[in-house]
Amino acid sequence: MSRLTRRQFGLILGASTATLALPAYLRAQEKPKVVVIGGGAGGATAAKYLAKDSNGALDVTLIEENDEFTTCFFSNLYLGDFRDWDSITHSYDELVSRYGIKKVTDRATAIDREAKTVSLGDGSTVPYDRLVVSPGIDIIYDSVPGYSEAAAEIAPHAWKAGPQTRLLKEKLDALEEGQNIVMLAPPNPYRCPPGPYERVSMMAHVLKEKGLTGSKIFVIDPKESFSKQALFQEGWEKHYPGMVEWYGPDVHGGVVGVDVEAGTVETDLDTFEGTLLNIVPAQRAGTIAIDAGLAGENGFCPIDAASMRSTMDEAVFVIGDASIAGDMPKSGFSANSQAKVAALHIRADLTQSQTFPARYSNTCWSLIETDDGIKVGANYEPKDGKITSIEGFVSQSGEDAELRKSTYEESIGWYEGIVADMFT
Amino acid sequence: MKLSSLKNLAKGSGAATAALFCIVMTPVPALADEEAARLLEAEHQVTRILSTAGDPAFGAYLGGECATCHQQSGSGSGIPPITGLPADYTVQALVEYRLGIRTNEVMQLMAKRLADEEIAALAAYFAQEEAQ
Ligand SMILES: Cc1cc2nc3c(=O)[nH]c(=O)nc-3n(C[C@H](O)[C@H](O)[C@H](O)COP(=O)(O)OP(=O)(O)OC[C@H]3O[C@@H](n4cnc5c(N)ncnc54)[C@H](O)[C@@H]3O)c2cc1C
Repeated sequence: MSRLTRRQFGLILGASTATLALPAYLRAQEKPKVVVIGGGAGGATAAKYLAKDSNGALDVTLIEENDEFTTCFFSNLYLGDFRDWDSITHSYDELVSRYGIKKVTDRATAIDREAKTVSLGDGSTVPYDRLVVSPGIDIIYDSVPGYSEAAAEIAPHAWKAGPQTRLLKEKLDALEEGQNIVMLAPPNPYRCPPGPYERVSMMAHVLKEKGLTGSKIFVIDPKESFSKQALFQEGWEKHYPGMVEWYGPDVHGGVVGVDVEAGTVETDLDTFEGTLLNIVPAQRAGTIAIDAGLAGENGFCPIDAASMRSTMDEAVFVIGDASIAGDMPKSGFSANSQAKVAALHIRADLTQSQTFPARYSNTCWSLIETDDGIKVGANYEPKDGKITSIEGFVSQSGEDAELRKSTYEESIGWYEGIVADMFT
Repeated sequence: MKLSSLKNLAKGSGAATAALFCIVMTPVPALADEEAARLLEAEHQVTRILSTAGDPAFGAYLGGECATCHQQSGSGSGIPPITGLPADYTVQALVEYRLGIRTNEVMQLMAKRLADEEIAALAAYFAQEEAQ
């Protein structure tokens, strides 16, 4: 059926009056089916654009285990008391009521690529002609010796927005003067390259606001350098003097392990103690993608740079954090951008609509302190077999306060824009 | 910014023309020459693009990229709405970003890779879109 063009399909339908006499719910089932796994930055955008731009020609099902979606983006601002929880949590209702998307609130447990079906937690299966896989990341707990899913209840990673984020916030708010935070930053590749350092800034902001300037944040990093490093370090010096100490591997010599009960992160150099540990381990594509055999050896999924189509299966598109998107960072902005390219190609596959050359873009804004926003961005195109950065920019050190304030205001506009683009 | 004030702005002769007029009246050597040349170039490009008919369907595809930040509902703070803007305003703005006359880095990046026909297509698309 997916081999038929829409016109051929229409002709066949038209030729048989018996088919036309079918009840509406049966006829609806004859539309090409697209299933989207994951209702985050990639999946929600893909579902919306598929439904919106096909004007009802596609049957779009969104499988997402949660009722509502809390964005990781701006979750650091929630930690810093710049946003409340409700303002970063969004409903799927409009995707259903406005675009006719079927939202299935359940966990996708398996993909049968042979039969082209997705199995759900309740035991049922959903068939597809095309599948979008956007499950985000999963945490590799044992990449940090001593860490585990259970340990995360004491020392949260908070790298998926939800109960983990709230737990980190509670622990942050409970700190008293002189009590320290140790953050173990993740190795590459991980979602949101500036994310750990924006988080350090927001935690330092909370400490400073409460007058806890005798408390320190130690950042133990497996990486030699990080995104917007000069800008963050300049900001920490300026706003939080003496409160943030960052250690790269040339200083700490390597991470030996963590003991969440004792509140310690042991490195070759020294053992760092904190009342609050924020452990962010290594990451890989969401389990469903790996179990379906869509990932390569590094735990992420190879795609065709021109379409986001899986190189493992032409009926599957992998977008967002789970994909290997060349030079693009794993961000909400990137996932949203990739979703639109995937939707375009899926519509072309199933409804013969026109395709245009893929274009991608990304900008990551970060907040260092009140009204002190910075950003880094680039645009990308398929080139030399991967998504390649064409041109980019980054905020400069020593920019004036007015520019930093307008950068922050722009980030608020971006947030409102992207969540509207995903959910309304 | 309200859409209505943007529209009023758009009805004027364009910032570039006004600025060009000032510079022609009071010439300052070197820098001003460069600036004047850029503004003149902007005027040429705007005229050239406005003389072609943009394809709104192509614009709808390209506009997906804009929708990440610019809300289609026509509301917004921090990032101005663009839905429903008159075509000549969109063309003028994108040309000015493309030439670096307008300074926002994100918009410069977006505009620099737009060919004339893409600017025309975007302008045609946003002009016909209604804020929802
Ligand atoms: C602290 C932090 C700050 C960040 N800040 C920014 C920022 O400022 N800007 C930015 O652009 N990005 C930011 N990011 C990154 C951004 O959140 C991610 O890159 C983005 O969400 C990726 O989108 P995605 O669709 O791949 O995954 P997600 O948005 O994580 O969505 C995946 C969804 O799939 C669901 N799911 C997974 N598996 C299944 C299954 N088997 N069945 C059913 N449902 C499933 C999950 O519940 C989830 O809702 C930040 C991330 C963090 C952690």
